[in-house]
Amino acid sequence: QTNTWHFKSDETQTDLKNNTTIYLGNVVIFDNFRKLSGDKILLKSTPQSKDKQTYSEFEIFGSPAHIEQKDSLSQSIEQLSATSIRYNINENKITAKENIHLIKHQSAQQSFEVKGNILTILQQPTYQLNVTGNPLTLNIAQIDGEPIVITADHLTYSEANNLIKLNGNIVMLRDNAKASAHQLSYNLQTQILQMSKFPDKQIEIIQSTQN
Amino acid sequence: MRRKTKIIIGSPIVIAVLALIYWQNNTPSTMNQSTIATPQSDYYFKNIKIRQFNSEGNLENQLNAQLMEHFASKNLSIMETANIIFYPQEKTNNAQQLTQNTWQVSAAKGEFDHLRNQLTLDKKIIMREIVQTQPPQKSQPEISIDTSHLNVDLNRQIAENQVAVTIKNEHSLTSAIGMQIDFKRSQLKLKSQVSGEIYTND
Repeated sequence: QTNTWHFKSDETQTDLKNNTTIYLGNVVIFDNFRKLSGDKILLKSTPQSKDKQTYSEFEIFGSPAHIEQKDSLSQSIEQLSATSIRYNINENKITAKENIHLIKHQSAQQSFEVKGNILTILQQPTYQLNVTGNPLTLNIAQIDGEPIVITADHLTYSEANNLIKLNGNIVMLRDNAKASAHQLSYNLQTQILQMSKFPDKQIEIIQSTQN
Repeated sequence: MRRKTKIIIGSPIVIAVLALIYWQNNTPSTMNQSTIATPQSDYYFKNIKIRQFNSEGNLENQLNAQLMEHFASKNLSIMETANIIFYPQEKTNNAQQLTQNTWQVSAAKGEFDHLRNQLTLDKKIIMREIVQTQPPQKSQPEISIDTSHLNVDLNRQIAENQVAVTIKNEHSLTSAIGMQIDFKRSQLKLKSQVSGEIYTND
C-alpha cells in the first residue's frame, strides 16, 4: 500500500544511479503518524524485482536526529532522538546510535524513558525494544510519586507482555533507596518489579501500591 | 482655372489617395502572418541527428530534432521535438559502456546556440535513463521536469537553471527553486526551497 510523506528541506542531492536522495538543511519529513527531522536525511529507494515493491530506508543525521510517532488520535506515543537513526519503512524497523533518548508513552500510567548508546525497535508483528548502554538509564514514571531510576547494561521491552527486562550491573534508585542486581523485570501494566541478585536466582520483589 | 493648373494641383492628391489605399491594404494585420518580416532561416533540417565525439573518438552526445531551423544572424537554431542523449565516458572496452548511465533529455521546444554549444530546452521536458537498446525503452522510469527552461551545456554535460522547477518520478514529487543535473556523475541537485511528497510502499 502506497504511503505519501510530505517533506521540506533547504536543498537535495539525488544520485540517479543508485536511487538515493540526500535532503540537506532543516529537513522535516512527515506523514499522518510519523515525523522525521534532522540536519540531513538520506532516503534510499530499492526496487524489489520479486514483488514489484520499492524498499525505502531513511537515514537521519542531526543534532539530534529525531523521530516522533503518534497514534490515530494524534497523541504522541513515542519520541526518539539520537546522533543517527535508521528507519526501514518496509521492515518497520528503527535502529539508532549514540546519545539515544527514547520517551515511550504506553498510556497515562505506563510511560518510561531510556537513555543509551545503541537502540533497535521492531514494530512488527508486535513492538519490541532493545537498548544497550554503558550504562543505559531507565526512568519509569510513577503516578504516586518519584520515578524509578535504573541503570543497567542491557534492556528489552515487549509490548506483547508489557514487560521491561534489564540485564547486567543493575542499580535501582528510588526514594533514597538503592538496590543492585543482575537481572530485573518490570511489568508496566501490573507495576510488579522483580529483581535477582545473581543469574536465575530471585531474592526480593518490590511492589508499588496501585491506588 | 486653366486645365494645366488643375492637373498640377490634382495629380499629387490622386497619388496620395492611391498611396493611402495601397498602404491600408498592406498593413501587417491584413498581411499573411508568415510573410511578416521574421528573421529568415538560412537553412533547415527535418529529422536531424547531430553527433559529437570527444578527442579520443568516443561518442559524447547526440542531438536529435524533428525540425531544426538555423538563423545565421544569431548563429542559433530553433528546434521542435528535440532530445539530447549523453553517453557515459567511463573507460570500458565493450558494448557494456552503453549499459552504464546513458541519459536522454527531451522537450517540445529547443534552442541551440552553436557558438556556446548550449541547448535551451522548454516545454514538456522529460529525462530518462537509457539502458541497453536503442531507441530507449518506454518502460524505463521517466523523470518529468516542469520548468520554464533548462540550459544544457553540451561540453560539460550539465543542465541547469535558477527558476522554479517541479520534478516528478515514481518515488517522489518535488518542487524547488533552481536545479542542476550532472549527467556524467548522474547527480541531480535541487538548490533551494525544496518541498514535496515521497511515496513509499509501507
